Amino acid sequence: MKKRFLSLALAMILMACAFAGCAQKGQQASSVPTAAPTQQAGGEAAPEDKYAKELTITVARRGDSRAVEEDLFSPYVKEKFNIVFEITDINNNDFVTKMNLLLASGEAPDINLDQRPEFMLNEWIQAGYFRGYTQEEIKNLMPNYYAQYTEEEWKSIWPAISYSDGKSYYFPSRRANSIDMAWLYREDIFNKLNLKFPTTTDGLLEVMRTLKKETGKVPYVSANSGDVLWAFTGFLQVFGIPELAPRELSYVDPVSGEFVPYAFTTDTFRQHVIFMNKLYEEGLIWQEFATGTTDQVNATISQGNHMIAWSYPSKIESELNRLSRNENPEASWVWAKDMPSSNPERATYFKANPYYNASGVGFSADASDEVIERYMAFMDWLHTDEGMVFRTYGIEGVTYRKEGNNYVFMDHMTSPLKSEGKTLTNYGFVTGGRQHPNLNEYYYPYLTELEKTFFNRKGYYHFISPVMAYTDEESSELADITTSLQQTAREYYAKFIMGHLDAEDDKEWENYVSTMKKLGLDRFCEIRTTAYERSNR
Amino acid sequence: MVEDRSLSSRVLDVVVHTSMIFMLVVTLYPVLNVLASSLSSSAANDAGIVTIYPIGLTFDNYRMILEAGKVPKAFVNSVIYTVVGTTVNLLMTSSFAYALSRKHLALRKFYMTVAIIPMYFSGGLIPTFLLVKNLGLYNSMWALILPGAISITNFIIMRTFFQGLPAELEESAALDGANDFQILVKIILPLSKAVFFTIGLYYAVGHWNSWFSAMIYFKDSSKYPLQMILREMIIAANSMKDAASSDDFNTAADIVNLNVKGLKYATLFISMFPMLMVYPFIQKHFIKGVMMGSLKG
Repeated sequence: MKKRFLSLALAMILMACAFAGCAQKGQQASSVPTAAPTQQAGGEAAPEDKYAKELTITVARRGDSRAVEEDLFSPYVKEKFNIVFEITDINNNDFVTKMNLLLASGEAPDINLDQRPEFMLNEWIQAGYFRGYTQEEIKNLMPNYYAQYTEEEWKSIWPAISYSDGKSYYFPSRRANSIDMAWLYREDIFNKLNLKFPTTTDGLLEVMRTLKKETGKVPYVSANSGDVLWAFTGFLQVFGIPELAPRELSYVDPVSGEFVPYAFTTDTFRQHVIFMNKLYEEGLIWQEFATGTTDQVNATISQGNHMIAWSYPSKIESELNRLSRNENPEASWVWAKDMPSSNPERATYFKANPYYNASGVGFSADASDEVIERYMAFMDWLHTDEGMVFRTYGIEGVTYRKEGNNYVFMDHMTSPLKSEGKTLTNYGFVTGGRQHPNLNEYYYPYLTELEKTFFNRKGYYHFISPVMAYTDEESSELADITTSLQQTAREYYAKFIMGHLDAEDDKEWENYVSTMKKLGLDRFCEIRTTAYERSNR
Repeated sequence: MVEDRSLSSRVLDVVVHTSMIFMLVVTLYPVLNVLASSLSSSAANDAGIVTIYPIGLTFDNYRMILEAGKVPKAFVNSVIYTVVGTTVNLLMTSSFAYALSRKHLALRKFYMTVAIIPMYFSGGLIPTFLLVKNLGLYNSMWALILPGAISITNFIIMRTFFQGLPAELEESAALDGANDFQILVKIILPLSKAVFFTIGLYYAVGHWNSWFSAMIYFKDSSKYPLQMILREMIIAANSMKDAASSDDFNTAADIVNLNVKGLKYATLFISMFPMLMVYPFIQKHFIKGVMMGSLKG
């Protein structure tokens, strides 16, 4: 009996504790996302008075965890800014999940190094998790950061990165490369067969047929099992659709200036699909383009397939030559000085990068003013020449040496010419800031060559991403429609290319368009057009 | 022993042996392929020609892993989390299961009901994260161990096993003056090796293979277990396009340097090896334990 009473009492205590715990948890959860004190600690004296107090700044960095073998970065930054960084590396695939958790639980890092608009930035801004700044504020707070773009460039950048309240919530640094993609081809085979790189779609078809006939291999090997719309982006561009259309969805034709609100239902896209179907039917593209994995693609290239590619010339040494030489040690890839076009009399299109990177620094609303000011000082310094050298090359005599006007990585370091060796992240470097322009000038001379070849060339045009600012309601409505539209576009794209549906048949094409309309295509186009007109008035 | 030499028995033997050989091949092939790929040259891996024996034998992948620093550290972390986690699991689960297997425990049904509720309803990711954080476990090893200290499924198997032990054993021990704790330690536990090994293996494999909790609860990557590092490497291997197109040379170099198929398989093999080694030694108990739990369940 005594035992029963004791057990009953214990059970009641257990229940009471559980309810008390729930109540306490509820109170704490409701405080999200109000300000939480930032970790700070008084520390040793810093070289400058304004940095007398040591600050610990928490930073989220997208990417793999890095093994730091010898930390050269922290002592330098501690000495110069009296900052101690606490880095959380978040894997690319987990980035949104983990950031959501950290933000919702009040554990948000002070700085998000990789704030990207497509990573739920709108939702995070609406929830009040990040600090926004006007252009004027940025100009005053980070003059060196601001000065990396000219006033003329800011005119196109600011509308693209700011939101409906006139503030920006992410601050991208200047992109190092203005053009970094081209058509690549197997020079050894082209020379042997006396082929020239084509400039028309008919020429491209003929060249691919010859390659197939003479070698018995598949001329173009590419796959994207995650999103098949990315499988043939070079061929999209051939037909006057931007290479980045699977991400941007809308574009402005650089010749006519016409705004196209949705890229994947136009007549131009239909022509592209018909062409791709022809390539597929004749075995000129890899049959597994919708399901192939990276390993399968590599294995297929290693068997001698793949003689034309739309890719980065930087991959010639690191990937294409390496794989193709598994079958033929004489294999030699080069980049083409021409681009094919479906209508070269009208225009030939190439891809130019925007001035700024796709991601930038974000400042947490929970971080203290002191932390933000100190980080801004550090970030501003990273955009000075000294800061760019530090962030790109590291420490003189340890990770790089000076040769004339050039900065050269030491022999034990990885460089763009050498994949073996240590990287700056092995020395604890936290990326962010702007890459020093000398890196491309010294290590990637072909980038300058690419610029010279394609920019300002008669008949050659590149796309400029349209600026479109949405209201919160428009953003939320668009997000819902876009998911369904893209899923359906992917499905039909694969079916049209593989011949399960015939894009040349008006009835089947219209059936596709009408399915898209049922999913909200018209509303999507209306919102995008309104936003475009409003932003470019 | 009389041997059945009838035709039906022989046919059955052939079917059973054929099925077992098929199962063996299906199970063994991926393991041998991973081992062979980890010991093969980069060219052979790129070409996809490695089957069950290495081509262009090289130990470079294992050398690079050991030199890199990240994998050995993660391996040690995984061993610690698995050993400590499994110990805590067995301690908590056996105590709870033993108590609830005793018929004279007051409110036994109530406790059982309370225990079963989380099998059907979970708190959800964010509330669980907030709880772990508010308990001060965030970025600590205990965040991986304490929230899952008792698996209800394993608890039920253990409780069923304890219930199957003859009550007379305890009664006689009690008559000899043993208290509840002594009965558990001196009478029940020695009879429960099979279930302890079985449940222990379930827990150990769970800890060894776990990565999600580490991803959620760790902000310091030096605390990552091996599976988390392995996952990063596999994702990196699929991000070649992103790596090559990265505007940041150092980031691109980091990822490309990781992206060696052989390296990926070497890490995979290192992560499989300990569990492969443990299993043969506890196989006897494992089979016995599973049978007991399932028959009485």
